[in-house]
Amino acid sequence: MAKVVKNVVCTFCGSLCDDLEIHIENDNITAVKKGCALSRTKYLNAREEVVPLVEGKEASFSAALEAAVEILAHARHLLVYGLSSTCSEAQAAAVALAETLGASIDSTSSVCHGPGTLAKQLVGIPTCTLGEVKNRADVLVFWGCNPVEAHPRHFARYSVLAKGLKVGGRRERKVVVADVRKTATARGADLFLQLEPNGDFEVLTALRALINGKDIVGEGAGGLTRAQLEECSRLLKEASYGVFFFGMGLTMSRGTHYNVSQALALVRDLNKYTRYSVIPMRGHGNVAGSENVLAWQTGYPFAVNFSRGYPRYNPGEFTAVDLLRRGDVDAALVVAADPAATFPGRAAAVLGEIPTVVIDPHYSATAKLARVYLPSAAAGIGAAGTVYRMDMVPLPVKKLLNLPYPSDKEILDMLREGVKKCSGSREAGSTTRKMAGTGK
Amino acid sequence: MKIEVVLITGRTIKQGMGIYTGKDSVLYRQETETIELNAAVLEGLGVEEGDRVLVKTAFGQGVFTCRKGEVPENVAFIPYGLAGNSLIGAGTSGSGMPSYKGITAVVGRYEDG
Ligand code: SF4
Repeated sequence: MAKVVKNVVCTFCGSLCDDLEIHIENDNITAVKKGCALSRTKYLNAREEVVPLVEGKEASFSAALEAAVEILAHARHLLVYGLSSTCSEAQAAAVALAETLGASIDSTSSVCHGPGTLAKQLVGIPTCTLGEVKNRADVLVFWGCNPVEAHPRHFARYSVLAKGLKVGGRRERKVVVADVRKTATARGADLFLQLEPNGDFEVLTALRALINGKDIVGEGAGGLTRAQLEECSRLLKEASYGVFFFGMGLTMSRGTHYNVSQALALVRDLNKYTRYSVIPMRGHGNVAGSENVLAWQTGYPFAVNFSRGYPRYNPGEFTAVDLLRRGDVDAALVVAADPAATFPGRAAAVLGEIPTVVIDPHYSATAKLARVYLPSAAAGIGAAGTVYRMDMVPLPVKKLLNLPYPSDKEILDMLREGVKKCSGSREAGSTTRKMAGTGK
Repeated sequence: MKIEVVLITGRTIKQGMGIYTGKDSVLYRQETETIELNAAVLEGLGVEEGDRVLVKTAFGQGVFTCRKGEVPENVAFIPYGLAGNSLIGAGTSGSGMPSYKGITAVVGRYEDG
């Protein structure tokens, strides 16, 4: 039977466009309307023929679940990682499991906007919704991000091209792009600041000086001339409502969170003259949700460790790449992420050396290294749930297809039940549970 | 001849699509095993678009196919992916974040080793 589901939330990127039309025939997605190249590829490849695997061999779901429980229950220090391509209900279940096992839990944030979150904790962040961007923003800054390729509908739905109540389309907005490369995004800018690699901190510092009426030493900074810096500071100050978007260009370059701290301080300075907000260009569909859920359940947004029965936070120590590089963990549970394809080679290889359990709708590069692979029904395709947009607006996602496997949340709950039966849990003494009034 | 560049890895639309066509797919592999270099650098190396180069960093090495890109002469760009990750170090300077952008790399013709 054919049907069309309207107003579907696309969970590919942090823009979470909520207007997709998905055409379904015989429980298969046959067409995607209103999406972009990324969403079309995602939804047209949503149904992958996968089976549970133990040691690379096909197994029943219950046998694979049992093998996973064995690994988790016997780990001395488990890493729970991923969480950005699933719903917040599953993220909460992962936190509960990590707490039960005294594990470390980290999300893909640590290798995308984690440094931005550290900077938020240092400086604070004035922020707004994408609705405000659409309706009010007349100056848009895109620093170290390339939405034309990473968030293809961002311009049309929320920012550069969007027709808002107070600001019309492209002609009524000024666009500044700062990047090392002349990207597709940079090509459409009113002002393109071509930075030297790792020059962000220097340029942001120079802009802060100029905006605060101070002079800069020398004839430029970070690959830009004094004239370019002056032009930029003038343009930024002329905004009635400016919004500063930033991406991995800041978080992955030398200085990481110091770069973002300086950007946030620049926006704080600009707020002395006019209205400015900041929005991180979150990559994965619900990576923003992973930080929210971890923060409200543990007090910290990522890099959390439960080994003492209460949550401790330490990026650089409990972040996934560090835990793997140092050999600090003896097992891993990867949920809705593919670190084998995203981590530096040396850290990724460790996932094949220790027993790793993967929960994923797709047979990912990490699933190929894993001791146990548990296929799941993807949130927003085979399961309903809640996801958070890059501006922290929560959106409900629908179940579109009947897929043969449980959702991530259901699997995580089953694993937690399993390990509780298998080993004495540390949950009874849990400080967080007592604080939340749920400790027994 | 070999040249020293600053290596930047990052997102491209084809790499994003390749995530869902599968990391074994031709689309993903072709895109993520590509290096973008300035036209003058390609000429200096004596290679053309489509030729293979060997890229080395302090952390690893890999073979990539050349593409002309709008990058400065001292910059090389590789789309995020398995191939590029072999060039990235796992140190995070206490931040949790490896240096996926802004590390030194040496590029030379594949034939020259
Ligand atoms: S811009 Fe992002 S959220 Fe919107 S349709 Fe494209 S991939 Fe999906």
